[in-house]
Formats: sequence, C-alpha cells, structure tokens
Amino acid sequence: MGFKEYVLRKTIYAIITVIAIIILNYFIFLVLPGNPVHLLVQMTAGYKVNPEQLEYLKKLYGIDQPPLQRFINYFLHAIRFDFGYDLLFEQKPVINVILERLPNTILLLGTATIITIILGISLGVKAASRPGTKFDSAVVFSGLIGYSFASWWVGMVLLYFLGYMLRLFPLRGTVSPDIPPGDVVAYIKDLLWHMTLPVTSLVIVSFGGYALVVRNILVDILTEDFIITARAKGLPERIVLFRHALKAAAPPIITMVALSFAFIFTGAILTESVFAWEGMGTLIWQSIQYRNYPVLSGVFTIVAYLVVLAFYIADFLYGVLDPRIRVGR
Amino acid sequence: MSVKTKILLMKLKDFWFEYKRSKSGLIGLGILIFFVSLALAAPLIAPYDPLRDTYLAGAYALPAWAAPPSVPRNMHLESPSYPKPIRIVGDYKEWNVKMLLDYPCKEPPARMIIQITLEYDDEELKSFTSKGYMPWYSIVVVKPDKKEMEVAKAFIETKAVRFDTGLKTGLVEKIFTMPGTYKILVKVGGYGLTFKLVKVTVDIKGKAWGILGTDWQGRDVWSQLVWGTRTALIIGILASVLGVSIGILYGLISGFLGGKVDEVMMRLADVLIAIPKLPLLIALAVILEPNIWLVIVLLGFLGWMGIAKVARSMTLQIKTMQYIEAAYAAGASNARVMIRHILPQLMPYAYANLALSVPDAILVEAGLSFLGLGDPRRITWGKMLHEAQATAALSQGAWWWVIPPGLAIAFLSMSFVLIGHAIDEILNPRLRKL
Amino acid sequence: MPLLEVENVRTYFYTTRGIVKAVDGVSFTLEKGEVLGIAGESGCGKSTLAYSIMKMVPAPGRIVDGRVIIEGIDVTKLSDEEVRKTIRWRKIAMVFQGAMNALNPVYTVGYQLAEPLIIHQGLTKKEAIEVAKKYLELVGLNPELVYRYPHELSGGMKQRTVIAMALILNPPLLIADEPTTALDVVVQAQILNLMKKLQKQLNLSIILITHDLSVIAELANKVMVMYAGKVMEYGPAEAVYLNPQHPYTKALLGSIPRLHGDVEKLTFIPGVPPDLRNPPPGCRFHPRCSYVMDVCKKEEPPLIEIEPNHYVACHLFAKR
Repeated sequence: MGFKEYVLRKTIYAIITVIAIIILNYFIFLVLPGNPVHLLVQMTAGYKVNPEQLEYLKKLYGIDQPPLQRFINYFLHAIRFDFGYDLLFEQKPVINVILERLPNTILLLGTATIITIILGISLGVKAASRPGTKFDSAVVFSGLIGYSFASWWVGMVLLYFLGYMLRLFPLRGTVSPDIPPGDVVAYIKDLLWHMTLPVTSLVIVSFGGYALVVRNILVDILTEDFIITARAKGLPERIVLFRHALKAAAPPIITMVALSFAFIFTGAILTESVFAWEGMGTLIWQSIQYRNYPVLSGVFTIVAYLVVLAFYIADFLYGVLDPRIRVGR
Repeated sequence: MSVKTKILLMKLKDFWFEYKRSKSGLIGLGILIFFVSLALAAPLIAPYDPLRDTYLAGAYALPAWAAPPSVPRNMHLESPSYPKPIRIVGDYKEWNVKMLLDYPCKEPPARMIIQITLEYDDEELKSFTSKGYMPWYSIVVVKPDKKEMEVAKAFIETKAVRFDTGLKTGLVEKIFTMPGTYKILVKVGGYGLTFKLVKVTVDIKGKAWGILGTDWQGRDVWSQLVWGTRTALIIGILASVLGVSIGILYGLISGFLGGKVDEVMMRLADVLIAIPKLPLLIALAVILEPNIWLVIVLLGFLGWMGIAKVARSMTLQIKTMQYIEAAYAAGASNARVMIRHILPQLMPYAYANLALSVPDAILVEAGLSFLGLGDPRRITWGKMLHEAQATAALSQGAWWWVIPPGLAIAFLSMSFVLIGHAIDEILNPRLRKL
Repeated sequence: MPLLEVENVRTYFYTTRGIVKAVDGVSFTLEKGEVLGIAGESGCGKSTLAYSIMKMVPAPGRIVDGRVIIEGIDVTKLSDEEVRKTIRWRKIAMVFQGAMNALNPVYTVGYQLAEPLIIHQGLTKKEAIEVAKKYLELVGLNPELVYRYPHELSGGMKQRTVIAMALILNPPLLIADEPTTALDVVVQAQILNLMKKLQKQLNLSIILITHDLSVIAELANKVMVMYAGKVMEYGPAEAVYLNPQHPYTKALLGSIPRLHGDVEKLTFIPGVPPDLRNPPPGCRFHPRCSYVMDVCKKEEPPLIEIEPNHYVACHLFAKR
C-alpha cells in the first residue's frame, strides 16, 4: 500500500472521528436527562431572563424545531466552530471565549511538554546506551515512580513550600496585575515567573515516564540483527546508537511525542485549577460552576478536535519516517 | 487434587519464585498489603466518621505528634451525675456546679463547649413557663488571676443546653488569656418536681489532635485517609478489571474474526482512544449525578483499548499457528479454539495490564474528586484535596491535610506500578534480563 | 602461517542463574582459501564461537581463555577500539543468521553497503555508492538496487545483499552463520552456488556454520563437529563424511534423509542437549551415546589424531 493510500486512509479516519465526536457531544449536552426546554430553563434559571430573551435563546438553540433539524443545525455549526453564545456574557460567542484562554493553556502545557520531551529523550537514550547500570536503573525507577504521582498535587506541594512558605513564587494567576502596559520585557519576565511552578510540577512527574518509554524502545531495537551487523561492521558505537538505533526508533518515538501533545488538555484542567492559571482548565472549572453549557460543549469539542489533529499528525509523521510506508510496496 | 490443580499450583510456585527476585516487585507488594490492611481494618483504627464527626478538635488542628507541648490539646471535664441542688424554694431548685480546669497553655484553645444536660417532663415545664417561670442558666468563668467573666446567661429551651464559643468570634481568646487553673461555675435554676440537672460537661477543643490532625470542620483527617483507602482500592481494582476484561475479549474477537470486522472494530477503538478521558468524565459528572459506580463503569469503558490492541495482534499471530489448524481438524468449534487455545496465551499480558491500569483509574478519579465532581456520599483522597484547596488549607498551613492524601495516592499507585512491572518482566519474555 | 588460528578458546556467560560454558576449549586452524564447516545442534556453541572470533560476545558473556590469531594478530589481546578499527569487517566479516533482519529498514541498501567504505576507508558517499554497485553485480544483483529499501527486496535478494555487504572491504575471512536456513530450497541452492563462485573468485576463506550437514558438504574443505561447547570431531571434509568416527557424527550423518540409495532407517539421537551451566561430567555426549562406557562418565576424552589431520574426541579411540 503506497504512501498516498496511507495518507488518504488516515484522513478519512480523522474525519470520521471528528464526526463521531460532534455526535457524541451533541448527545451528551443536549439530549441527556430532561426535556431540552427544561434544560434550557435550568440553564437560565440563575439569571433574570425575560420572555423575549427566552424566545431568543430557544431560537438560538433551535429548540423550537424538530429533533433531526436541531441536530443538523448543531452539526453545521459545530464544523464551523460556532458553539453559540456564552451564557454569562450573552453577546460573546463561545468560540471567542475559548480563544482567549487557549493560548495560555498551550503556553503552559506546551512548554512543559517540550521540556519533558527533551529531558525524556536524552535521558532515555543515555540509559539505553548503558543498560543494566545504576543510571539505567535510576531512569527506569524514576519513570515508574513519576507515573504514580499526580502532577497537580505536586503542584500544590510546591506552591506551599516555595510559594507560601518561602515566598519565592506567586501564589496564583497567569500574570501579575501590576505590570505596566507596553513593558514587554517585564511582562515576559512576570509570565515566566508565574509559569515556573506549574511547569516544574508537570515536568517532574512526566519526564521519567518518557525516558522509560524511549529507553525501552531503544533497548528493543538494540537487540535487532541490524544493530549487531552494524557493530560487526566495525562502526563506532556512537554511530550505531544515533544513526542506526535512533533513526529506526524515530517512528514510534515521534508518534509518542505527537500523542503527548494530544493529551495536554487532560492535564490542563487540574494543574490550572491548582495554580489559578487562566487557561482552558479554569474555563472548564468556571463553566461547571455556572452550568455554562454552551461553553462546556464548545470546549469539549475543541479539545477533542485538537486531540484528533495531534493523532493525525502523529500518523502522518510516522508514515513519512518509516520507509516501509513512505515508499511502500 | 487433580492433575490440573497440581500443575496450576506448580506454575504459581514458579511464578512466586521468579517474583521474589524482583526487589521492586516485593516493595510494591508490601505497600499494597499495607494499604489493603488499612482498608480492611478501617472500623478498628479509624473509628470516627470521616464526613460527619465534626469538631473532634479545633479546625485545622495539628497532628498530636507534630505539635509542641505549648499547643493546647483537648480536655474534658464532667460533673458528677445528678448533683444536689444548693437551694430549694418550693418548686424551685437551683444548682451551682463548680468545675476546675487546669489549663496549661499560654495559647487559648480552639473552642470551649459546655453542655448542660437536664431532665424534666415537658408538660410540667410548659405549665410553669406559661406562668412566666422560665428555667435559666448562667456560666461564669473565673480566670487564674481571679478576674471573673460571665460568658453566658440565658433561658433554657431544651434538655441539652449547649454553649459553644465557636458561635462568637474571638470569645474563646477573651476567656483563656493565661495558663493556670480556671474555675467554671455553672448555675442552673428551674421549676417543677421533675426538673433535674443531670450533668454538666466541659469540652476544650485543642489545636493538636490525632494522627493527622483535623480539617476545616474539625474532622479527623486520619479517618478520612483510612476510609478513603477503601474507595481508592474499590475504584482502582474494579475499573481496571472491567477495562481489561472488555479489552481482552474485544481484541480476541476482533483478531479472531479478522478481515473487515477486525478493521471496523479497530477503527472504533482508535476513535475512542482519541476521546480525552477527564473532560468526558467531567462533562458526564456535571450532567448526571456523580457516584462511584458510574465512575468505575466509565473508567472501564474508557480504558480497554490498550490491552485490546495487544490482544488482537497476539490473536492474529496465534491464529496462523499450526496447532490451531490441528485443533480444528480434531473437531474443535470456534468458541473452543478461542477459549482454550488462544485466550490462555493472552492472559500474561492481561495480568500485567491489570496491575498497570489501576494507577490510571485512581489518578483520574482523584482528579475528578478534586474538581468537586466525585461521589458526595463517599470520602476519597481526591475529595480531601478538593476541600483543602477550596478552603485554602495551605494558606492556613495545614500541610497534614494536603500532603498525606497526595502521598497515599502516589504510594498506592506506585505499588501497582511496581507490581505490574515485576509481572511484566516475568511474563513478557522480551523484557527478561540475563 | 595459517590465516586464522583459534587456540583453546573458552567463552562463558555469567548469568544470574549460573555460568553457561558455551564454548569450552575449542581449537582449529584455517589456511587462506580454505573453507571450514562447523556443524552441530542448536545451542552447541557454534554461533558463540563465531562471535568470539570477532570479539563480539554479547554481555554477560566473555572470552575467558584462549587466543584468536588472524594474520598474525592476536585479537584477544587488542582493546575494543582497536578491534573495531582494524579487525572487524576488514579482516573478518560476518553474514548473520536471518539476513532478512540484518538490514536496517530505514536506510537504503546502497547506504548500508557504502557505510563501511565511508567509515573505514574514507571514501566519499558518491565513490562508495559506485563501489557498492559493483559488489551488487558481483553477487548477481542489479546495481540499481542501491537506491531501494530493504523491504522492497525478496528474501533471496536480501541474502545476496548481505553477502555483498560482508565482502565490501575485501576481508580475507568470511564467517557465514546459517546463511541458508531461512530460505526455501531453490534459493538455498542459488546462494550456495554463489558462495562457491565467490570463494573461488576471491580466494576467500570461509567459516560456514550450520546444523545442516548437506550444506557443509557442498562447500567445505574441513569439517568440525561441535557438541555442548566442545569439539567432537575435526578433519578434512571427505574423511569426516565418508569415515565418521565419533558416535555423534555418525548419528548426525545417519539422520539425513537421502533421495537416492537404499532406504535405511533414519537414526535419531535420543535425549536433549545438556544444560551448559552444569554439563555432564566426563564426555559431554555420554548420556545420549549408544557406545557409552564407564570411563566416558568420568573423564573427558582428549582429541586424538586417528588419521593424518583427522581428530576425534572419544574414549573409543583413546584406549591406547
């Protein structure tokens, strides 16, 4: 099967997944318990909504239309990233609310993930090149241990000791409120200062697992015949490790990297709550508190989209890196 | 004992011999045994209801062992039962109960609660109060420097009168200003033959208590931790068992049937992998009423994909083996081939996976509880952290409420990870070391 | 001076479950242009011996005794770095078991052929590829295959490629470990013919390791029969095939099905190869030998020369 077919196949799967997500989302948020109208009334129960607004909302969500029509509407909107309007700020489209918070989350978790990946891969490669040594055992052990700790709890502890007790770091927020506008350097410094603890808590917990997986992939590959052949050829160990083993390990490792970006958002919710970081996580938290369903629905869908995208990129890269797929036969 | 049982026992013995070689596996097992013992012994070692027994001591009380002696502890005084009244005038009786409290600390306690228990016939009392003759009580505290302070004076309205300094901010600090002997004078007066003073008790709620102190409502943190162990184990193990069972069967059937069915089944699995667990659980918890069985089922249905893929690829490999053909030639049905020939070979991967997916379930559930979306009727470690976070426990310095639950989550998860890793090393030939 | 001298090599594996004596005192010599066939069951130590010659024994194994001298250089005395730079692939090259997997799937055939030239001889990539093309022709393949990836080749083509790759630095000695085992009979014959042709053309010395005696018969001048890490019989091919002396050799030869000749019963050797952590005392073959005597259970038989250059390690011949 050639490369073109591979890409086509993966694209179709991605599309199917997206459709499935939209359907799933629809069912969760609009069809589950209760009459949609009841739900709507529930949603607006906290606020003073006059009959006109109620009619407007009803029309907005198409509740006055037959079910199939409703679904089709929802579907068409969802594909265009239109999730309706925020219940708290009625004029604000949900998508805008999301886009305000999204960059913060990506900044925080993207940084943490990148650091984790770099640390993890370097440690994993080093461990694989000296199997059975203390270093190797330490890497394996730290991988297994890190997997058990909740990064958000580590964040709480760090916050307590370094933030509250030693006052080295701020206790909440993305940026301090008193940065003079226009002062970019101060802004960036402040941002980094706020980012340090959350990023640290995320990295501490994850780099071990990463290193462990990379190490296992490499150790596996190093038992392959072509590695023994490479050594028999009298190639320096450095070349055997980096040019042969690592290159052959690239497809699964890159896939893993792409996937870790996919699962960024799951970690977001909890860590952001602990540090009161203004990102998607706290957005979800607030939307839950206020029963802000349109926002929740939108966030969920966007997150799922991003996950699908990450998977898709992972698959694509895998195909590019592995000549068995790229060249095909 | 049948031959089969003998063989099984031998296999287990061999397995255990191998397992003993793994230092980390033994550590994991030890930790697990510790937690299971904790969970089983809960009623014995943690007699307090983790959610309902409030104000066992002051709020945010330090663990007893972590507090220096200068931190006040709980104290309890009781008067003798049915004391004699000091004055009787007709139907009227008056009591004057004096209690001595040796209070050793410079720091005032968190609370003082004085309970006055009475006995009377409701009807009789009503007849007196309608005439304007109400029973009353007063509490006077004489401090060590002889200064007197009247802390309460009111009419009696129930058989169990309760004076709680917690109801008025700053009161207990005004009362207890120095170490020394305090005299607590409780005067009660009431009408009627049946009106009797049963007992007066004085409870001083200290600022240090127990193995792990108290939370914001004075509840025993140690009890919460111990009872939370049960929930964690139940959720972790059941969710994992459910997930692995589904996964193995799914993978077995998919690989066995092959062809288009296999393709579709695997695509479905791929789609499901892309769904982020926590957001989905959050979404569902918001809509439906959260309870642990729902969480267990959902975790099971979200975590089977990994083992399913492994089971499927193994099934595909095994399917082509000659002994499968031989089995068919000997007249075996599809079901028999699947169950007797293929399934046993998948089990080694299942066991390791079983252990390794428990931590994931525990962590996801802890995260869910942390966000306040857990089962409200049960105590879980995540819930403890949720309350701690919500009441800003750390800014009160209540490390004993924040660190133990997190460590418990980590160590319980760690134990399963180590066990799973040890099992994997034994059963998975590729990982074997020489 | 012989091309290769192997003197009393012992290679042990120090595992957590005991010391595995994989090669326990093996000696032989090889002249330039000679082909030695090493035969024996799986696990008898032949592959480990090959790795020992190249000083590539994987952990936890080590060469604990003996010498390997190639073109006058004692390999066992060299450091790893020296072995890598001077011996491997330049003096001794190896074609491994299962050549299918000896090629890295993410690099082109040409690159893998060219690699030793670039590293050891300092050729540029372009020059090396040109040389690679010539070697592909030498093994009977289309030189344009240099641009292909391994998965695009058939099993037989891969095997030829691996042979070309082994010869690329013109080593005087080639070790072939089970070169035909994974191939079907037709391709097997092609590869054997190719090896015969190359041997004559390049005056190659070859050590051919296999459990298939019929393969050895095609190519070898000398034969060495190994069992449980020790040499059982060693001598010129004709002598060993036509006049086998050791009971083990006789049994092995008797177990080859033949198309022609009288239909005799196939012999098979009862029992299983021994656990090399705890080999049987005395002659290691004695538990399975039909000629076993008391002395076989106690003393190890020495190698006795029963004919010129034909050696056997068996008490049947040690009586004098």
